[in-house]
This record gives sequence, C-alpha cells and structure tokens, in this order.
Amino acid sequence: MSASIYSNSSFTDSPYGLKLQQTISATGTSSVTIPTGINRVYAIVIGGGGAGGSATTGGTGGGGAGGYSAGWTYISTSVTVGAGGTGTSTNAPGASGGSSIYGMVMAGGGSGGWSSFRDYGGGAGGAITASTNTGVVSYTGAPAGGITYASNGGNGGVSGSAGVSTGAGGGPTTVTGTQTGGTGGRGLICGGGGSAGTSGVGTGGAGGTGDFYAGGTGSSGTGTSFGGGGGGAGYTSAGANASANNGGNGGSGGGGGGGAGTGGTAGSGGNGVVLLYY
Amino acid sequence: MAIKYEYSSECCSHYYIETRNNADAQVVTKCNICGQGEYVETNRTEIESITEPVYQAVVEETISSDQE
Repeated sequence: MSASIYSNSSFTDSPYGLKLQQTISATGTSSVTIPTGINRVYAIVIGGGGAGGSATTGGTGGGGAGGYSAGWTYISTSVTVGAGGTGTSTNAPGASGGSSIYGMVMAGGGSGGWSSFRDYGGGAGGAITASTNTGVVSYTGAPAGGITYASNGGNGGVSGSAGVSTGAGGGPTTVTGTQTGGTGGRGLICGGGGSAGTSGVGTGGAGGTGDFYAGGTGSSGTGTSFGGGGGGAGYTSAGANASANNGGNGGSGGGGGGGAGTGGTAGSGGNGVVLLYY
Repeated sequence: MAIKYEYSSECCSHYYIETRNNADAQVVTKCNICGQGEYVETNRTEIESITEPVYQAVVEETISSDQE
C-alpha cells in the first residue's frame, strides 16, 4: 500500500518521511518509550497558552499564545507538557502558561493578559515563558516582537501582531461609550481577544485565527454584562467563544484565553502539547 | 490523572500512542500514515496510567519596570 504523509488534514506540516508516532497532551511530566534503535526523533513542542486578564472595572487583555518549537533531538524517557494559565475573576493579570520540553526542544508559555490599570494583551511564548506583552525569542534564536516568530500583544484596544505564536489583543480601560477589544494576532497558535467593560456598547475582540483552527468570537452588547474576548486558536483545536463578560478558553495546543470584561471570569489558556515523529 | 493509549488505525493498522489527561478529548483522530482511516476509541489499548500531579502554572503577580 502506498503511503502519503500529506493526507492528514489536521497536521499538514508533518515533516517529510516521518510518521507521527506519539502525541502527549497530558500536563505535567510523564514517561516516553522510544523503540530500540531509534536515537533521534523530530519533536514539535508547544507551551501552554496564557490566561486572559480580569478586572473589577474596564477591559482587559487576552492571554498570549504558547511558544512553538520544532526540531531534532536526542531521545528522552520523559516529557513535560505545560498547562495553560487558569482564568480567574480576581482583578489581576492572567496566569502565564507553563513550559513544555522534550529532549532539547523547548517552548515557553504565553503571557497572561493584563488588567485594570494595565490593558496589554499577553505576548507569545518562545524558548521561555513570556511574562509581559512582549514576545520571546525562540530556542533557535528566531526573533520576537512585531510580526515575527513570537509576536507582541496589543495595547488598549489594539490587536495582537501576526506571527507563528501570536500576541493577544488588548482591552480598553475606558468604561464609558463604545469600546472594542483588540483581536488576537493571526498565526499558527494564537493569542486571545481583549475584552471591553463599558456602560456603552462593548465588544470583545475575537481570538486569533489559526492556520488550522478558528479563534472564538467576542461577546457584544450594551452594558458591562457583555464584552468578553474570544479564545485564541490552538494547534489542535479551536478557541472558544466568549460568553457575556467572560472570556473564552484558548484552544488546546497553546491557544491564549480571552480577556474578561467588568467583573467577568477570564478564559483559560489551552494546555500545551508535544508531538513526536520518527 | 493521565492515561497512555495505543491506537491501531482502522486503515493500515499503524500503531500510534497518545498520552492525555483522563478527561480530555482524543487529540489526533485521523491516521497520520495514509490519511484514510481513523484512530477509533474502540480500537485502542490502555498501556499506562499516570498518577503524577499535574503541572500548575505560576501566577505572575509582579509588574516589570518596562511596563510602568
């Protein structure tokens, strides 16, 4: 029987000549067994997405996408997959996602979205975890910031920049009039949308649109019970839509969570994932 | 808790391993080799149960000076 590795609709970037043999999405550290005789594997490693921000008043930023790393590595008997940051309603910046690593291929988590007195969308992870709106360089040295490997989050109602892993949209802190959160940047793994929290018409930004999956939509309506940001697309699933003033969860495989509008609960980041080809 | 499953594709009998949190959905459903068949839940074997604590991400509480 002839085999075509290009036929898989979900993983069209499979490295030529190799087969996807293992997928690890269980968060934490678990064991890996590689067949005898195989000393090198090709690993795709993705960190957890950041959670959106939450605030007692006003809009917040969405969470940044988890970092994406891919390359050859020596085999290892263990793998670590970072969890996505957990969204809360505690009037605080969102939690960053956790780092993932297999062998010598590593990827950090996305930054949590900022809230209240700040309104930045979280930056995308790189070799290590992002903790501000600025993206982080990759473990191979690919640049971050702007439209790059790991892009920055937007400020205020500005959208995150495009990239491989992308930054999240920012949320305007103004609490009156018509307000709109920024969208997550477009890319392979995407940041969440920023939220709006206003007495006027508030519209949450959509989560970033991914190469494989869609981002979630933002919530829109008049008053502070609307305005949550959508979750960003992950590597293995779509981001969730926002609901009322709550942010949508990021897609699994590193999508960033959507920001929460006034008094809402932020979306959680999607867990990371590791794929092994040999 | 996490569980490690070994799937056999319904199209070419390729063996594929997936380790995921117990409550999570299957990550890869389509055969990666010929792209025709599925890794169906009824054609899998549980090969390991993992009870280690799950990773908890650190909540960032500090504000860096470049954000002031």
